[in-house]
Amino acid sequence: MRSEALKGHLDGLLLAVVAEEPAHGYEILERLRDRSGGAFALPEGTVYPALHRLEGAGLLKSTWAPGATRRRRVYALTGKGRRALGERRKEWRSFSGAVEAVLAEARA
Amino acid sequence: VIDAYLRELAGCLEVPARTRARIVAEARDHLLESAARHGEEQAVESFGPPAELARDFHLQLASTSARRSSALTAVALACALVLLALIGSGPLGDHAPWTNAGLYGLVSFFAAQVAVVAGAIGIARWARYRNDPLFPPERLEDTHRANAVALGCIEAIVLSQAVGVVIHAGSAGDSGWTIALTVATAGLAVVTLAGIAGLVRALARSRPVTVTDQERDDALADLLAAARLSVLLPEWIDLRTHPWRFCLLFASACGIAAAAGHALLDGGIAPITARLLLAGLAIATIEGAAVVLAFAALGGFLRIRA
Repeated sequence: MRSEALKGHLDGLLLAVVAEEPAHGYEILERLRDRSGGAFALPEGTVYPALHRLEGAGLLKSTWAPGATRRRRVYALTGKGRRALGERRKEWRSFSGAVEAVLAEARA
Repeated sequence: VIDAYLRELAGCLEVPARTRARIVAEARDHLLESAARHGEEQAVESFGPPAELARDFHLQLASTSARRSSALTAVALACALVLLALIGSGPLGDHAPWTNAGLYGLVSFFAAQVAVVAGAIGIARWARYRNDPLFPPERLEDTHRANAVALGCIEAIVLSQAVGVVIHAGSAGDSGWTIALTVATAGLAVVTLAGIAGLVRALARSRPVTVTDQERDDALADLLAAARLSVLLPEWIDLRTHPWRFCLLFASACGIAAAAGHALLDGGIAPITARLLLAGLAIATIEGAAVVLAFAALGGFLRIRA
């Protein structure tokens, strides 16, 4: 999938992935890849500005956590982030339903 | 390979040292994890070019700073308008008559109007893009310009009121009200300084953001979008196609409003006398001329007209 098409939905996807369990950047990308069946393959560095932005907006919080060999920045969803994710899910359902309805009509 | 990549990334990042250290540390952690599975070359390639990554961070920081700066300008503008309202019609004005007349009153009156227009443009732009993940980079400069004009005018109000207090405080009579006015002016000065500091920060953050595809600015579209209006002005006075006609109409409306306001404050418009009409005409002309002058001087800078 083209990364430009994905960028508009990146924030929602990141919130959804972090909502499962707090994770560091690499883990977040792995989950994104796994859950999309490999369809969402972005330049990996792209997620970090997005994660910082979501943290700045108060939707994520992050802390340095000790790992086996080095410290890692772990991201977790905040209450505001959980509400924002709910909103985005609702918007997506409404949007994808409308697109599906139009495409289905066009096929018929 | 990873160290060379991180050095290049650090060199591209024009961000505060603390932010740079965090970005590089996170990138290092990611690359080491990725290299353990796919090798260093592949890890670096998958991470993306350092310059592009740095640009994303610059955009994000510039966007956040522009939003904060607009919010601070809005707060400073609200405080200035409350202060002027208190001086103009409240008890503060009764005990500090110099503030509502003469040079101090004139500076405050006209500076407040320019601040409202420039502030409205900045706030409208902020409101239009408030839900977007990033502020459009091609709108950053115009937002900073609007905020700079608004804050400059608020600073002029603060200074004119402060000078009035300093020069006339001794003859004011009621020291309690003078102290209240001094505190209010000082409070506005603090808020304005915070706004200026925010603007300087926003300017510094937007410096590394290069805009390759410069779009035409449209202040009117921002104002209509902020007011959730989709109406279009009649073509013959559309700000975009006939800016000077729009300006003259707007100046006339401001002149009439100023004359009417003055007449009402002066004891009502009944009975209409020749003196009242003459005063109204003079006020309307001065106000209208001031609007046209401000449009001529600042319209281009604020990108209200081409």
